[in-house]
Amino acid sequence: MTSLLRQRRKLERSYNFKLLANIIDWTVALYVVVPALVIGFFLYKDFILNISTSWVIHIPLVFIIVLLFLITRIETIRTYLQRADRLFLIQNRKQMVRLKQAGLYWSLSKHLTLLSSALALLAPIFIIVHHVKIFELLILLLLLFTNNFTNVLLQLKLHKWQQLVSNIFMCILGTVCFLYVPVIITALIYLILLVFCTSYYNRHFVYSTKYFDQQVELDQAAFYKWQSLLFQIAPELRSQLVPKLKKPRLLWKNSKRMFRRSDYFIEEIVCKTMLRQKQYLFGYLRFLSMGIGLTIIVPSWAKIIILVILYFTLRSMMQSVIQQIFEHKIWSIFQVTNEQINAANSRLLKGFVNLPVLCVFVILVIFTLVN
Amino acid sequence: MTININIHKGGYVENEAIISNIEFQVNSGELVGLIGSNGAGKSTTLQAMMGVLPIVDGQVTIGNYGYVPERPILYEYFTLWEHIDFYMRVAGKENSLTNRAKELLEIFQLDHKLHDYPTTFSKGMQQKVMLILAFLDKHSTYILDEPFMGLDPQAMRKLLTILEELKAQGAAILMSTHALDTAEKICDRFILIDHGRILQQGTLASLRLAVKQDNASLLDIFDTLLEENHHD
Repeated sequence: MTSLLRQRRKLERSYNFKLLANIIDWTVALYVVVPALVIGFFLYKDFILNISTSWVIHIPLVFIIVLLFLITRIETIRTYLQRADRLFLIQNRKQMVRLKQAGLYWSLSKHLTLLSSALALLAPIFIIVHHVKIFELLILLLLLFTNNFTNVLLQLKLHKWQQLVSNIFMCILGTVCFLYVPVIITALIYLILLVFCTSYYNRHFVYSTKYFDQQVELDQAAFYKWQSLLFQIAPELRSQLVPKLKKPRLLWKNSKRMFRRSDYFIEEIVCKTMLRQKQYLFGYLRFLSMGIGLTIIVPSWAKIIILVILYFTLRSMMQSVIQQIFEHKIWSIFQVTNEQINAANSRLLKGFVNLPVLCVFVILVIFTLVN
Repeated sequence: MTININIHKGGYVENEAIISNIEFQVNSGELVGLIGSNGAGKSTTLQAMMGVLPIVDGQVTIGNYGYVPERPILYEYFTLWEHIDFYMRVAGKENSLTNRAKELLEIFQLDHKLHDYPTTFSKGMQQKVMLILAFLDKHSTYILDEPFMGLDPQAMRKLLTILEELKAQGAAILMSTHALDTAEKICDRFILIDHGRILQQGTLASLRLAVKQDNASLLDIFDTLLEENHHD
């Protein structure tokens, strides 16, 4: 790895880390990631142990192969080029070639690792259900890898519709080769294709600067991949935290009180902020709906764990929201006592956390009893 | 009720006291002007008085107060009505739109903006919101940090009338300002401050006597005191 590549990868890592740290509280991440890994492991183990009686035995092998060819892809072959490189790096051809080559090998090895991991997870389906040999599985890995590499190369050269046609062709070719052509011949064809692709990429994209602008654009897109993905999942994050509206649009737009009791003023500020701040509202609803969805689909033994996780996640999210509201400067002009804050905090947690989790629990009990 | 301030050291930034030896009193029915250049320590003194900034050595006696901060502090997700309602609820009042609230809204011509977010208002209008909030409830003391900032001439005149009324009702008012002409007309006493210390305090007459200039304006007095202080 060249030092320039190392430096730019470090910059990208730190950018993505800051992005994540801005939106995810570490306690929430801990409550979600660790239990998700534990539950995922047990669910996978459960699935493998009962694979011969599960629904996957009804899926034909050809369907799985076609699906793999269609869904696996290399997003971009990273070059780690930046716009300013047109001014400086482009004059130092040797260093630029080294950077692009390092980018190619980094992208390919990362993709190979990901593909191998995915195939390793799916291996029980291939081996137990469809009696595929390990050697054949390795050939499938080679096929998928070469296919993905070819497709990403074609992406750089062809128009959209041509890419679609070529993708379909490559998918059919790969499936036919894997299922009907002798293994040795298939391996040979795809090894030759892999060598050809590598040398083609080196000749046209590493040693040449013809596609410089296109490569920079693709690399910038890859750099901001997580940010774009985040905005797709949560479009409300794109907007500023402060509302640009002149007045509230929907509920309580004529400034009526939410709570009749005049001592519930902290509840009022928190509830109205939750309603009017999309980031808070969608974050809360997302956690709640994810929790409800998971409790429905996981096996009975995992339901309680999900409920516990949901409780702690909602609790820590709400505490963080309340904390952020209390950090506002407005409190320097209002004289509120600690007793009032603590009482309101407790009522808010009951309303936003305990009550919904209890409701989900009751629904689950009724659902289980009925079934 | 009077305001008693005795701050030996306060308003710390990076372990260094910004204000020191600030000692004064504001009696009931009195309007006192806190005068100083930019960065002299006026806002720091007011913030230290209210506990926003720390006081390490000193004592502050202050009753329940209405406060206008240096810059408008508004909540982004509350309408003007909700700000008023919130303020009244914190003060333990049942009704939000009292006659006083309606009167103030009318005086500052914000009655038609009741259901809008004040964070979208102009600077002057936001200052008017802060004044409305400070004068909503009857307080024994008022602390006003640059209350004329951003106000149009009509609003300034209305504010002066309100201050006169409050004074007449026996309120103790401490006001920091750069509007020296206006301060000269309405304040009973002045506290001139520089580099976090009091230069001089007293009525206009006593200040004139201190600088030995019979017809000096407040600005002239302040300039003379600053010069003397720098020579020292």
